[in-house]
Amino acid sequence: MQVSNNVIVLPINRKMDPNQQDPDAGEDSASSKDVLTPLIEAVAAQRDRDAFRQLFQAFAPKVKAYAIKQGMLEHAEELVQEVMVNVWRRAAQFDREKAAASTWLFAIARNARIDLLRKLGRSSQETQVETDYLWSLPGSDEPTGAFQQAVIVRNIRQSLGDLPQEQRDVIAKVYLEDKSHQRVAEELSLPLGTVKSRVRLALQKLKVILQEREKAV
Amino acid sequence: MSQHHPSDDILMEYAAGCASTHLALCVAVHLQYCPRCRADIQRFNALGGEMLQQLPQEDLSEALFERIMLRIDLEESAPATPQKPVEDLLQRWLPDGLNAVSWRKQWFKVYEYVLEVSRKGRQRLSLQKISAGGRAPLHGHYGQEVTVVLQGGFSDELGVYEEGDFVIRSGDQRHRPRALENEDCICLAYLDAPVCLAGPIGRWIERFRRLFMPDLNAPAS
Ligand SMILES: [Zn+2]
Repeated sequence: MQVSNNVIVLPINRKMDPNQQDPDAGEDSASSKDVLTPLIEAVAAQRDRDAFRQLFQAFAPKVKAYAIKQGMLEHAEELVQEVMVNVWRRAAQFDREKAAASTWLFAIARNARIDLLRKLGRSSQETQVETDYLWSLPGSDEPTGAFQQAVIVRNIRQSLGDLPQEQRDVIAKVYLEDKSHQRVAEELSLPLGTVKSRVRLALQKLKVILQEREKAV
Repeated sequence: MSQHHPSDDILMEYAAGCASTHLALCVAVHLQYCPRCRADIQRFNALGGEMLQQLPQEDLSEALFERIMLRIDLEESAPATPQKPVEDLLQRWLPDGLNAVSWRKQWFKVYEYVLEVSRKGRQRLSLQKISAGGRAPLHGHYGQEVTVVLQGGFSDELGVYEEGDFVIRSGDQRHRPRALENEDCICLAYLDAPVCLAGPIGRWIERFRRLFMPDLNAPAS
């Protein structure tokens, strides 16, 4: 499992049912070792520049990697700037009851990327609606609780490393390389149905989609 | 509560930010009605969070942090712009709500109000209204048609759809939507290519359309 030193490494005990276990219990808990959450909260509450610098050191290098993966090499640090300025501006909207820090930061980075592409005139279609309305940041919804958020993130983190490479690759192409399932299928010369079923299997293992649910129309 | 939702791959592409802005708008409107999909999106966003956290660290220019702080200082010294309230997603087009729309008649009991059309005229975001009990002509599509029911409901050969439902039809699925009896049905519709009329009169109209828009492909199969 590849986890950077900036993020918490969770105990890997796959025998345990993650739903039965309190993620806040004990020193290995998801929330107690999460360094990002208190940093964002310090920025929000005290406009703490030192906390912001630590957040920058932990997150900005990954945003740059994200930009490069997305084919925005020449605008990579511009994207980092936009993302970090938005983290500063919006820190007060972060609510640990509504989203894990990594989830919230991803949404900020995703929206900044879309926004930058739109400003550069690279988006395929245009509409008058602003990016933040089209893709609202986590937090506008009713809270599900920090506990629930930690369970979601831990399910995903624990099982991501166990996915077969081919399933992981497809998910990475969609999230990190801005490729639709259709384009992934073309790139890998696979039928679209094969790509979709790979993703479906992966999402079930990650508990991103729930197995028992009837197939969506 | 909605019965018809975007498929998992649409939700994932939306969360990943690789859906087009118009498709994103349709998904976002559905999310306003649908707690189930909002919960799904949270998990899809969490997956994005993990994918991002697991990326390697790229070296940054030395002055980058200082440049960011400079920008922040500039912003902090300027008078704060008030936070914009969360608006209804369609409000910019419909400041007076759905009842004040100036509809353009298209067919018996079928009306349209265009919100946005792409430069080449292929993509079209519009509101569509079928008066209570009315029926649209039989049609297929050259591309995909995404529909989100905003008011009332309609039925077609494939199902019954009510407020908040998200329906996607591909080119080969011909259908003839019919509004439910008791209420006008209003939908947000996004077409990524024009409609293709079927039936005897429709086919005749289509022949002319092909003369003027020769780049149209046959309805996608
Ligand atoms: Zn839904």
